Amino acid sequence: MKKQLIFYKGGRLRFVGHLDMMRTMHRAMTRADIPLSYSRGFNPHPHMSFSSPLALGCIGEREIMEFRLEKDMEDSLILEQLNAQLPQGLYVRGVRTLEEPSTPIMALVRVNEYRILFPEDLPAMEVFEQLTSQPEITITKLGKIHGRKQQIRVDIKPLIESYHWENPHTLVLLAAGGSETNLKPELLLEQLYILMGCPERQHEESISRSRAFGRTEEGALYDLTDISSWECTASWQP
Amino acid sequence: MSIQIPDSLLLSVQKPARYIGGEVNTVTKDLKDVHAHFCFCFPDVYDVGMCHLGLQILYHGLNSYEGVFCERCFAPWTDMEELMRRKDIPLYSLETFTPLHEFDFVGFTLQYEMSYTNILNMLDLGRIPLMAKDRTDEDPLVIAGGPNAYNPEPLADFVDLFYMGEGEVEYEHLFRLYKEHREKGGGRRDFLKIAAAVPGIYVPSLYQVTYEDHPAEGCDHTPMISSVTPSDPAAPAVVTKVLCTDMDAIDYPTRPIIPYLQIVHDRAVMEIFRGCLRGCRFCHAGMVYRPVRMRSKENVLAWVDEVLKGTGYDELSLTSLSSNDYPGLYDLLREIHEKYPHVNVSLPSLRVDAFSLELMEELAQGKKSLLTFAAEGGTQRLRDVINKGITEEEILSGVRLAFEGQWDRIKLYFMLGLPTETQEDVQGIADLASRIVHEWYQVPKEKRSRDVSVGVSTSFFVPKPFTPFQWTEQCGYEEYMEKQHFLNAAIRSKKVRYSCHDAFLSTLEGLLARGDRRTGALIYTAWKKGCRFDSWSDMFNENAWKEAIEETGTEVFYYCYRRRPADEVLPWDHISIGVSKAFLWGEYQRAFEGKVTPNCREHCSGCGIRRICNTGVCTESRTSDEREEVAK
Repeated sequence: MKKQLIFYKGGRLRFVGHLDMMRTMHRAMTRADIPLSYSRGFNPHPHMSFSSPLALGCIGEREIMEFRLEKDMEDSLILEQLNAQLPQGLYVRGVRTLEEPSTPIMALVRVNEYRILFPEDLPAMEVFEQLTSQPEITITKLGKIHGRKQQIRVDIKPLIESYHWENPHTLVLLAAGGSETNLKPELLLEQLYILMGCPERQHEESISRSRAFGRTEEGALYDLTDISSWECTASWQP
Repeated sequence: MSIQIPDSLLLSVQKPARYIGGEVNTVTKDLKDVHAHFCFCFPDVYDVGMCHLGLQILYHGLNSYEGVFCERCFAPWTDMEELMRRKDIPLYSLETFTPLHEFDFVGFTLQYEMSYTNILNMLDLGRIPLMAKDRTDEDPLVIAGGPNAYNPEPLADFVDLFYMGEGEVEYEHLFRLYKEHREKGGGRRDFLKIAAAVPGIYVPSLYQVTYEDHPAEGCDHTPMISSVTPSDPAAPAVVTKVLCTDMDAIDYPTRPIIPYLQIVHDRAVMEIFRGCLRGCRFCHAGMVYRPVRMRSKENVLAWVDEVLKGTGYDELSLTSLSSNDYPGLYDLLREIHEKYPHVNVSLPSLRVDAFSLELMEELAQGKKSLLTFAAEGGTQRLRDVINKGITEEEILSGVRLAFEGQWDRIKLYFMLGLPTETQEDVQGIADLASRIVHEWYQVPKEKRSRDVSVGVSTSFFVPKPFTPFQWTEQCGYEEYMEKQHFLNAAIRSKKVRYSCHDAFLSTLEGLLARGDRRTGALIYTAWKKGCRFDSWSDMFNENAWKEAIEETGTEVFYYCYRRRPADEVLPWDHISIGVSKAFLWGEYQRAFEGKVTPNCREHCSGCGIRRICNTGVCTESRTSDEREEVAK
């Protein structure tokens, strides 16, 4: 039995890394008596998977997790019992049962939506426009060429799907995400802060990942985190 | 007042989850209902400190008392410290983000000597005057406990009161007295006198130390202590440790705090007993935790249930100082395993025999774990000197069975520099390792694993207070290193890997372990020079310590290399762990005669602990002959 859930990650849990968050989630599920199924072999692992890792410091408005059960448990019971065990900062917003076979969530995500709130004294909008009007936004990062680790140069401009400004300090950014190509917004922001002349002030903004999208064969984006039609959701708001 | 830590600061340090608190099973209380606000400080980084069972026991124990609120604090890693100092942020507790200086009590646990500079650093970051004498009614009372508190003297300048013994016993009493005293509007000096009358509490400022008027024999300028006496009628001449008499009557933290961060030992922990029967003559824990006191199997099983349910861990460690001395251990393990097949159970220092091998494989879910043997000494003669009751035949038959069962990783632990050790004993380590490799070759190819790896690890013997070797001289640096080089050359087999470390840290550990009030200046000076996290090899600043020794005129010979005479006043003579000095001296003499002393269950050797607490192994049923002898 395969289940999918959408959860919120915020508060102090923003400072808990992806692997630690997975462990926290796993333990909470054990405490909540959710009959997870485990892989066989010497090192049994629970069948749990997440959409792409969220950077340290980011709020996740709608994060996706999938897991398998050994025996069925009602969605509403999962929602209730798991929320009772999760630490403050993690909250399940909805649960549903997936029809099998289903494509793993990791393979569906193509684009992530981020909302980035800049400090009001920074000319973020103006400088961002300047940055994105360049033909290329090249960054250097540690990567592998022919299996050897070295500094590589990457143009990240094509990884920006689209963006708009909600107000002069709030950027809504749609960036490539998922297992094939992924743009961490911090990489883009690093360039922005350099261009603004205040690299030391990076991390003063607040970033939240608000939605994840898949892409249809025709190329249209569809929201993977829309739970409005789900039967089992929580009324809670962050 | 709780403080705010900017997000941007947390995002600029490694592992920010060390500094955020709010883990599952943490406790918060409304401060207006609190009359004793206590901060438990572990003088090392979060990832290390959170593994400590004593923290969980004390945290949940203290928080179960009405009006008492216990929070936590750890040493910030150097990156965080730098930012806190730059941004003027005081060290704060993880539950309510309260600066350390606002607490009523700030309590440190003393687990190892090389954490002492971290204590000073945490006090400083927490804005508490370092010196106890400089603190006023506005400052917290600084208290310290744990195994190293039994020699409190090196930290006497910095700590207001020490707690000798097990935390479950006297804290509630102490906090009640504190409440009454505060309600009457009393200040800290008077409270310290009240506290000094509580069993197990030692207030160093109420004692006076006098010294001889000439240097000790062979020393340049350091005189021996001539007396330690109370300077106030409130203080007892000898402070005796307090301990739990019934392990089934005390609570167990079945809802331990579950860290977000992966810590060094990330698992559920169940303590099955306290103390050790064995009486190894080098072992501090074996003496200070006496007597052996079991938790009953029924209770252990019930608590294991609760711990696993309350945490969601899939790994469980049963802890004690020597697993095999728990009666019915194998039954206990089988029951746990049957009930929780998914849970990986581990336990320290299990004797290796056919039965335990089968069991270990089962518990580790088919994995062949690393097998360890703490042989400590290379020859039987030396093992008799240190009273380590393990024989070569036991080790060899153990590995033979293991190799036949396809185990392929063996690790042996030894100490170099033990009293009476000769070259032959060091050679014995290499010989034992090659005999083990030889055993592997003896096993038919189709039965044994494809390859074998035998690890030999040596540490340096450091004499500790309250052990039979407290009078003995410690090896010099050169001698330590010579032994190490000799052993390294003596190990010839390619299947044997040897791991060791530099000896200076052990010299320093010995100096602090058997230090006295004069050692405080050294710790202070080293801290001033930037020393902290001294137990982390990449942080240890050898030169700074050497300079501090030089500048404070600390005579290493006096503290480390000198054999102490029988009648010397030891710096910790006014503290009692219940084991008599006469017993320790007797054991010291027997060591040199190569005489083995039986373990407590075989035969009571009259260590003296019965005089403070007749419980545990001391009252286990015996034959009538033995009872007679005990009575004598």
